[in-house]
Amino acid sequence: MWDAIDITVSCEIERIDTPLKPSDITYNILAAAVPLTMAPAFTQWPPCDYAITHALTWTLGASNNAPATVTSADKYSISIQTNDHSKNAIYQMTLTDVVTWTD
Amino acid sequence: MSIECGQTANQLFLNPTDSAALAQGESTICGVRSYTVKRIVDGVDTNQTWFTVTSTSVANEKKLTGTTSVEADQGVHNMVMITSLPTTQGNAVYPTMRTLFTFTVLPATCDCTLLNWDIPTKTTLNVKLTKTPTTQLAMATVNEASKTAVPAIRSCVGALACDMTSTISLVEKSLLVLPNFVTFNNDVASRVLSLAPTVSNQMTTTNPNKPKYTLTMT
Repeated sequence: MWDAIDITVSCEIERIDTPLKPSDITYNILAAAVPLTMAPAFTQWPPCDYAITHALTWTLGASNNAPATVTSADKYSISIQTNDHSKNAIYQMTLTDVVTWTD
Repeated sequence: MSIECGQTANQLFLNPTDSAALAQGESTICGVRSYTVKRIVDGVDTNQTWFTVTSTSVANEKKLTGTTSVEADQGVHNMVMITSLPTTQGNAVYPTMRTLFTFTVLPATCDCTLLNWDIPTKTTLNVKLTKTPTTQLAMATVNEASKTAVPAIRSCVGALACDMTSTISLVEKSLLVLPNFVTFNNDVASRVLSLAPTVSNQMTTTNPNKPKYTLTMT
């Protein structure tokens, strides 16, 4: 019997998988609030299970003027609601995650 | 005296006495005895290298040691041990004593356990999670020199030839089984080790209790 091989298994995060792009939402001004939750969460691949710090920021429209607010309890969620007819437009929302981790 | 080729035989004996020693009650009055062993070939004493005579820790005791590792020596040989007294005491010529005996060298008994193995150098492999490398492990081989080192292995020929086929198995040294992300084709010709770690609890770099997997081959 002899030692044939030593194996070390490490992990290197190759990418951060992003939430799925939701379907377009049509909101009628004066209607009740429409929630939007991005899912699934940003996840590391491979599943190294390293402790990752996520810094999520939303850009709510090109000028950040969309009739939406970030839900404080869930950074993945926003709520769309307005009574202002001047907000009638198409907005593109962007969720950005800046991640940091230590191997 | 009889030995198998490659073995050693010993025979203890006491220094023989002589008439002067007996008469005077002094065992070495005629000097210390010396011993020469000769092989008798065609009636002629000839030098040999099979036997030596040495002293032991017991007073007055000698040890006759015979050995050979040369297969050509196999057979029955006529030997003589010549006991002599010193010839340096004046011009006296003392008598010698010739003790005849036979030395039989038998073929060695085949002993395959005398084969040695050459163990390959341990290798190292670093694998990242979700990667699937493969590698062929080296295996131990029978040491060439050990196949002919001594008579007891040189006699393993023909029907007595040692079985040098191998089977191999592989386990993790402390787990005593292979980790679940490791597969091994233990076919001797293949010996392919395949790794496929997929989950973080298989990692060693973050596990102080398991900084590496050491696989031992048998």
